Amino acid sequence: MSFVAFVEIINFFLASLAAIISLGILRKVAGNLALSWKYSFVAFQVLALATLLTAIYELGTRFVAGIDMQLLGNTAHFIFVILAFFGLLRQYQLLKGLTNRGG
Amino acid sequence: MVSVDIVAIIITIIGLAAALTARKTWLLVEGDLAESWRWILPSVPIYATSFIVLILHNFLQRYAVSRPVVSLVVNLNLADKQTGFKMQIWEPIILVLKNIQVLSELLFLILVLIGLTRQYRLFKELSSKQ
Repeated sequence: MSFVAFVEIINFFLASLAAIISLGILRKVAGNLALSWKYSFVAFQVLALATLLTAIYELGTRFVAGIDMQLLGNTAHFIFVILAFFGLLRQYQLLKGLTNRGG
Repeated sequence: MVSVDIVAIIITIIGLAAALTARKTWLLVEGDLAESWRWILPSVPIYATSFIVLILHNFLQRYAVSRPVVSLVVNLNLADKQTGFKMQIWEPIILVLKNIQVLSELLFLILVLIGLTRQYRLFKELSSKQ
């Protein structure tokens, strides 16, 4: 097993753990804040999938159903970063709204 | 440039935009919440940087030379015994770049996990108070 594949497998477990913690936070909050955490919960699941795809690519599987595994992995990373961005943006908007009301 | 590179470039740009949003959020909050955001804040640009490294890696791989960078051949003759040793180094920078990319992804996840754990503890405390 290559070093890259080994690290990506660790990354897969870490991303899954991040998704579980996000789910934990999601259960503790409500309303608009819960919506922003929903984004990060799904985002970390997608990130876990992306790391798994990269690990499979590094282990030797180059194509799945004629699709390049590298492209699949990068597409998963793309979905992750979009979801993470919108999650962060929602939290920012929410906190800004709260501070505006507080001020 | 292939689709893989275009996707990687878009990821880097959105990642940097996300880093900016995370910084703005961090400036809004204070106390324990700010402490948790302090861990998440550096993680986002690290993630974007890992994709810059990936773009560089893919670029170098495409235009890499098809012969070894260093070739070392040693022939030894001891009495009647003859032995040979040959070592070739093929574009070591490409291998190092890929390792840097996955390691920065690992660092990103560690920072995110610390930040998330702190936020979880905070929200747990708040919900138990209510």
